[in-house]
Amino acid sequence: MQTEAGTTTFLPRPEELVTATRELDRGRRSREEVDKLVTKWTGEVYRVEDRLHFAWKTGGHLSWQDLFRPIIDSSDGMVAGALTRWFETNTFFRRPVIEDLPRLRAGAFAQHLPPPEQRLALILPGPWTFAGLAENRTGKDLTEVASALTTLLHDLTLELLQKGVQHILLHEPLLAYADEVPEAELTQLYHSLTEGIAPERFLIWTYFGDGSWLLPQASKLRVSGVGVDLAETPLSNLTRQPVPKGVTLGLGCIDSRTSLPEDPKDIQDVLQKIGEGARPERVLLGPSSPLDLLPWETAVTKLSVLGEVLGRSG
Amino acid sequence: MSEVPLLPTQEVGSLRKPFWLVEGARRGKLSDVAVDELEGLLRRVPFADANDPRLKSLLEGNASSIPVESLRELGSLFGLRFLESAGLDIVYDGEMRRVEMYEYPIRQATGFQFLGHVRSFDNKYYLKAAGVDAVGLRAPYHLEELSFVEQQTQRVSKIPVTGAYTLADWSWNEYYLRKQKGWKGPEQRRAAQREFTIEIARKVIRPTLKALVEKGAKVIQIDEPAAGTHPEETDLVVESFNESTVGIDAKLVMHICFSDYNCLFPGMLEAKRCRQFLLEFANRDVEGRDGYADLALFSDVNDGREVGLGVLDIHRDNIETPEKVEERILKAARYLKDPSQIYVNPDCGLRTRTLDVAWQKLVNMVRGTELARKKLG
Repeated sequence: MQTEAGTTTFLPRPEELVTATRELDRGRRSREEVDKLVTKWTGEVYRVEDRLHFAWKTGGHLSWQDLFRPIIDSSDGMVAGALTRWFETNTFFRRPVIEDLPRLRAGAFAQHLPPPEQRLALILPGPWTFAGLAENRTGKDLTEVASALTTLLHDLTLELLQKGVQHILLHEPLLAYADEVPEAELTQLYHSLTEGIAPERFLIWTYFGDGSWLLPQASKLRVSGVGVDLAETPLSNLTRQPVPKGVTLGLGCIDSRTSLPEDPKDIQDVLQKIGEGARPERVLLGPSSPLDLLPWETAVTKLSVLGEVLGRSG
Repeated sequence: MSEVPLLPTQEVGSLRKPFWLVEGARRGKLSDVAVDELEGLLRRVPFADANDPRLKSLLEGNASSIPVESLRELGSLFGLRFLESAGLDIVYDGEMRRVEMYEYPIRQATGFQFLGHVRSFDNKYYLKAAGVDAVGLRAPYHLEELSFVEQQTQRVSKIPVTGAYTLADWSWNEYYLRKQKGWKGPEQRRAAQREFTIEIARKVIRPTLKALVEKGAKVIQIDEPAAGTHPEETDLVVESFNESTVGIDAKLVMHICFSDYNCLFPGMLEAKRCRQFLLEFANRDVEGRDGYADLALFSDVNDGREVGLGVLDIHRDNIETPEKVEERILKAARYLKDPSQIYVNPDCGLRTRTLDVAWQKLVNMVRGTELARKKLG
């Protein structure tokens, strides 16, 4: 079992950046000063990821306000709408409001890209979650709107791959949170998203619920693997059947809903049980849900546990 | 305590703090905007004696000579008179002494440690604590502000207190989670959260409520804005309310807003000592949709408890007319057995609106209620 780790979710802003952002809002700092701090602290995230020997480095997405905003800001036909609770947390996001079939503005997303030498992995909203959480004000059928959103994500992925990004982590909390997901519609969306792109480029990351049911679907959805939230997924749901060959099992084992650092030994025990029951060929360890639900110091402390687990796993 | 009429009107949460109070607390010179606002507010609500030296200083743009506690007292008096002058039957002080509803109670408790800022939305952050040790209480809180309000008003007062469920949900739980051995899966997390919440109810909220009653509190509003966050935890919201209120001899009411009531009710009705649920409705009462239809959740189970009926949308500046308020009350009355079950209030605190908008909304709420009384009385 090949075991890797990565920053599979957003990281919080460090206190220096939080303070600077507040001062920007109060007119006491310039946008340029805050941008410089974002660059400085993103560099620090990469240093942490290197130190922990992470294979999947995302840089923490410190400049993103939420999962959708940079994409909304880089598109026509969409605006950021009302504050909406981010699942069962005390954090809110601005609901994407679709006013017309959305389209990516060429090159507009470039400002959100990490520096060229760091373009290993990038987080994007998965099409199911994006469409499911958006408000459709187009007057058109939701299927048509979801299809347009997926095309937008497909175009964006192509742009990102051209610019050197290696992997796209598709955040799909809604696939784990929702009671029912119509399989045919999901497959159709994912086929549109991945058309002409190698499955190795995509990995779905689920949280806020049990997303283990997606593991057998990974090949059909043309993605390389699925991440599950171990705080919400009973271990028995993972160990009772083998992970399909060639599918990466993502294990969200660092929980952002508690500040208590995980015990590396507990994670190793879980890995052993999963190794025996699910027999995955490849495991990717990461935070389960977005770490920006924690303060910076706490998030980094918890993330460091993964480095320790990797060290012990040899 | 004075009697209240049919369809009593009441406040439900905090008002926006006036500039003179915010700037004054920073001990600097008041801005022209703050002084102008104070002059305007005094014309509308003469909340203090014109010869009060504190007012004179403030009107001269000087707050630094006023002790902070005295300034806060003046703020409290302003909030109280603002609500009284708008015509409300049940009042408090607009929570003028409080900065927010989480950090202050947590600082009165023991076993917590503030870890840092976390995102609320966009790039806005709030300070969040973790329960790192067994929960305890330094001393009951909100006692001074209650005494002050009680001394100052002849009307029924109602003190708001943040509930145990919300304090637990908005904190991290380290101590009780650590007690769970091995991998912390869904089952262990739920057990730890329950223990954490109930300990806050028993060790922080209950003694505080008890002390408030001893100080004269007759009506206590338990605020549980987090109640609807985890639909599967309604039983824990109820259990924490019940544990918080054991032996508390006061009228106990609960405020919940912006939640899916179909998930919360009828389960919430197991909070047996809760005599009134103050709920937001106006926000969902839009063209083509009856925002009050969820009241059927009460009538369907034949529960005759009071409902604090939200008739003002706190997220919009447009001022509800008295006729709109009347229409909403009459609409609600069709779902409930008895109009005496209805108390009338904004959906939530009006702190999101300017004081001018809040005033106009509250005045129209009182006028609309008077119209409804004529139909239902």
